[in-house]
Amino acid sequence: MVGYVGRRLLQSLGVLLGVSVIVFGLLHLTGDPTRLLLPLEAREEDVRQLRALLGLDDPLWVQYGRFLARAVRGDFGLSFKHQVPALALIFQTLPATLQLTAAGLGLALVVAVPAGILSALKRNSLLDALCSVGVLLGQAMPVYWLGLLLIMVFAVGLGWFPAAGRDGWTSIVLPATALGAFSMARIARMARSGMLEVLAQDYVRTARAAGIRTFVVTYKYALKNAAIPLVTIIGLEFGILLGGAVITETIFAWPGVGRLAVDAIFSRDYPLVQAIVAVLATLFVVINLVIDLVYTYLDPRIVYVRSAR
Amino acid sequence: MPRMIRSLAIVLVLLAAAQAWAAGERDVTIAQGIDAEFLDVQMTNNIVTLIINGSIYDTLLTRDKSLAIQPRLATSYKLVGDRMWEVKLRRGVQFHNGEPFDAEAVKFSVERIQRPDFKSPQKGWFSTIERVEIVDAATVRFHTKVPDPAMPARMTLMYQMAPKYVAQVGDAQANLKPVGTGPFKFVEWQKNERIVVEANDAHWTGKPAIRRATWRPIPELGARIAALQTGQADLIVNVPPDQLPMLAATKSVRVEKIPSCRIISFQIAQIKGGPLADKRVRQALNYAVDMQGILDAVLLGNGKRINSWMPPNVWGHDPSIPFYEYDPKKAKELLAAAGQTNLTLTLQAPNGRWAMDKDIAQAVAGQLTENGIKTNVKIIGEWGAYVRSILDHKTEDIAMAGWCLPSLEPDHWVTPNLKTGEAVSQYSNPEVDKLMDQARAEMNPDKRKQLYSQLLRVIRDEAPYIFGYQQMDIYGVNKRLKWTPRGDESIRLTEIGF
Repeated sequence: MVGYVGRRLLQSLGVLLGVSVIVFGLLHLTGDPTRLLLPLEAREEDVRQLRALLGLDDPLWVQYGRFLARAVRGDFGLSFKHQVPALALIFQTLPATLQLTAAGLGLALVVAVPAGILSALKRNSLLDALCSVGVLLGQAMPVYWLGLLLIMVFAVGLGWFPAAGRDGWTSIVLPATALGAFSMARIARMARSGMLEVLAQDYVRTARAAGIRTFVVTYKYALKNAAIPLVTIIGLEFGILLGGAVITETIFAWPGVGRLAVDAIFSRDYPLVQAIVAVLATLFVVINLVIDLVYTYLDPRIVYVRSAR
Repeated sequence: MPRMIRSLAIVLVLLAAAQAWAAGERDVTIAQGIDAEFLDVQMTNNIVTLIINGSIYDTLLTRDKSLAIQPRLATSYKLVGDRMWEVKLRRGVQFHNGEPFDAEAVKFSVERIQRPDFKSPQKGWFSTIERVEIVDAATVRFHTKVPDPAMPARMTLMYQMAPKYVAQVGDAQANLKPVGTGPFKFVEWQKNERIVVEANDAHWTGKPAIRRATWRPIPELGARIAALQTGQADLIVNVPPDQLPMLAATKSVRVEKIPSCRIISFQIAQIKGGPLADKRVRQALNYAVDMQGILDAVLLGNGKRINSWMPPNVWGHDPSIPFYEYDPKKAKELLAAAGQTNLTLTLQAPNGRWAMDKDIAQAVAGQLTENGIKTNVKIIGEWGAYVRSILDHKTEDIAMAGWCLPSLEPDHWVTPNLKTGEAVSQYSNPEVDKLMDQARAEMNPDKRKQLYSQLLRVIRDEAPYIFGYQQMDIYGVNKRLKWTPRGDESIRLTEIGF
């Protein structure tokens, strides 16, 4: 087990290194950021001075080496635009994004898992049909449209929740709903199909034949087995939501890392973009690792052997 | 007994609510599209950031509502020699930390920007200043490298920093906990969430009517309008014309508009050579576009035509210069005379930079095509790429261009955009260069105004642009506020009442 975790960590480092090379290369392909940092009417002399100050005169490989040497010590340099450590900016905004993502995913789970299970148990009932319609809508509605719709109905029309910003618990309801809707639909669909598959298994029939109560069969035996694909998708969803919160954060003026990233990309703020990508990639890798470990708990048959090949 | 406690509790709750209501009554929330970049005011040239900082910091001079220059921290200024301005400073003014404002602060503030290792985008604003001389605690002299009639305009952008405070806490902290002499004191800054300031009752202009102001960045237009409609925001910016009926339907809200210092036109790449190097072709492009018709149809009348490359609210503008009137026949004649009857052009425009920019560009191209100049539209949605095409002098034949600088100094409209070799300029003409150089150095205001009139007339005739319009700045305002907008895109908290 320890060996497995160690190997996975090493692989993860490789992934992160690859990500850093790609991001660094792509960013520098977009051209020199100095002209964008200065006013349009700036003199050539000021442009040259700033370029030297930012270290953009050095060859690319020198710049990358410097970036990597600092990054391993957790120093991603100063944001070009904000002139503060890039990591500090991220840690300032990351809690808001984590909060929104967790709320969105939490909401999705609370609604989707029971809905999926129920519609599997009551297959072809009215409830099942309603759930299917909900899933269809959830997957078909683009988040910016749903977001504006939610604002129109629940903020402007009914006045229940604020339209934008991050003030108190009421302000998270609309963005979390908008963000969670797509995942909700996907998780409900997975829960339903997973459950249907398990319910058709021999051991479920045997358990029923042995006279075990339906409730116990469903929740003790069937659900735990149906949970494996669910856990995978939930982990992936968390990663997707984390990166996908950009639009939701923009619509609802939620001060998260997604908005920071968009601003950074548009202003060619290299250090900030690199730091954001590094942090999000690390989070993604860690989440995946955690999911793999959760499998062993859910299904003890899954063991990590040295040479699985 | 429990009943009495309950009654008491209810009374207390009601009292607290009443108090909160009273406290909130003179609080104001303003929603703009973006957050401040810096609260170290010398680190920015971004208009939204300057607006927010303007409540915390004071400048030496300022602009009143009619955009005329007025005293602020400087009580008077005069020209002593061709290259020397003497400025008297207001006495008894203190920074929010108690530090006195004096000649030392002025010298420090200018020299800080000029320091080579200080990454201020304001360097260009003060590049003509050679040195700052302290005469006494309340008098400074600015020595300039060249005769500079724009010095008063520059002084409207000279935000004053507290020297001891900055030395003590360092640049980074000075940005996070700004200290100025302004009518409002800094309270908190939650990045991308809000900036809060509170009234500085000790300010030399007296107590502000607003007690507490919150600046909120709400990038999405729909959410910004919703925030105004629900009372979450009291004042919102950049309302596009097509949203006006929706705002009109909300009882608690009114709309305010003003023609802005921002002018939008279509820059013709004369330096590329070819047909566009011919003045007659450029003039023909102007005659072939019914600008008023486009403004009425696309912007619902929210825009005012301009006669040359300067807005009416900038000193130096000459209202007697005639507009290009829509005249397709004349356009065809000019094209025929230039031997360009089969012209195909490309027009580039951004998407979402200015109100309905893409739609206006398409309408202009449509009319050009209709009048015999086949024009394709190329939309460059990403602003960074758009700017790069201009700075690299690699624009298409025609590029949509907008301009406004907070200095409101006439030279800052013409020189960067039209002088040979300037970063943004796609035009070159020795006669125009000469006039610009003369006007920017002329110390006699009457003569200077005449020079600008002459220059703008030549520019009109030379047609380096398809002359467009002055943008209309449109705001949504909660009816409880007494406020009218300014033509320089700024929002001053001290101009808001109840």
